[in-house]
Amino acid sequence: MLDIAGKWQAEPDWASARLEGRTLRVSAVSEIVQRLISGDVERFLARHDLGRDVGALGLALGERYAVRIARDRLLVIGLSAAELTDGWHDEGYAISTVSSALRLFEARGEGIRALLGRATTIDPDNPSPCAAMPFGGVMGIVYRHGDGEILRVHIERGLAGYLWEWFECQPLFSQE
Amino acid sequence: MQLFPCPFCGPRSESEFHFGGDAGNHRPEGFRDVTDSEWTAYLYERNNPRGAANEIWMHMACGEVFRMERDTVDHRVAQSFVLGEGGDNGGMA
Repeated sequence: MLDIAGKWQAEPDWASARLEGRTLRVSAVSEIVQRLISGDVERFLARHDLGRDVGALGLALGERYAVRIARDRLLVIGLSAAELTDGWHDEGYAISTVSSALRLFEARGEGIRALLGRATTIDPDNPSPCAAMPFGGVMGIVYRHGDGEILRVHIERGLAGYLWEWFECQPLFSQE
Repeated sequence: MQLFPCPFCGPRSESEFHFGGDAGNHRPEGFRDVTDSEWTAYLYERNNPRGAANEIWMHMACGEVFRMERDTVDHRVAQSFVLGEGGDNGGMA
């Protein structure tokens, strides 16, 4: 009997999965709280003291920040359910927890710009207010984090295995 | 690679966009009173102009649906508009 599952390699153990090249390292980040905010996002940002939202290749700081993914939608990291419950809020926005829906990858090192050149069509010197963009052939949410040498990529969980395989195929990891 | 201007995200690769049809192609109102020819025109007949075109597009990254004026001969994009601003709703309402 045809075993279609054999066409795809098994997902790695995300807790220990690492790819290392001369100028780039990639790993998965687990146990991060991810929530979608839809509606009046400006009011949400002001009310919850999250500062400005981050766009494409923008720099997010700390463990609690907001990333713009559409005119009326944010992906917020680090906002706990105890702080704000899921559902509609009369201030004009709805909140959905999507921590299990998106897998987060981190890339570190001076090879980030080369990685962006292979994975995206965005102009790194003229990015956009929206962090949603195709990355490696699938839709992702892409921005920088921390000291700016870290690239964070959120991807639909079901596509994480594919993207990992895409990473593995890149010359950035094979030129050793 | 051609760049299309999403009204929210700015210039992005054309591969991120999906064509949504002619602007101003309003859905016929009236249910049973709508004739076969009116339904046919709405569903199948396209302007397919040579030169200036007025079209609805969707930016698949952010989900923005917008109206774009472009030229089908030289592929020059004149301008893009948020629906409801800078012109009509493009037949999307």
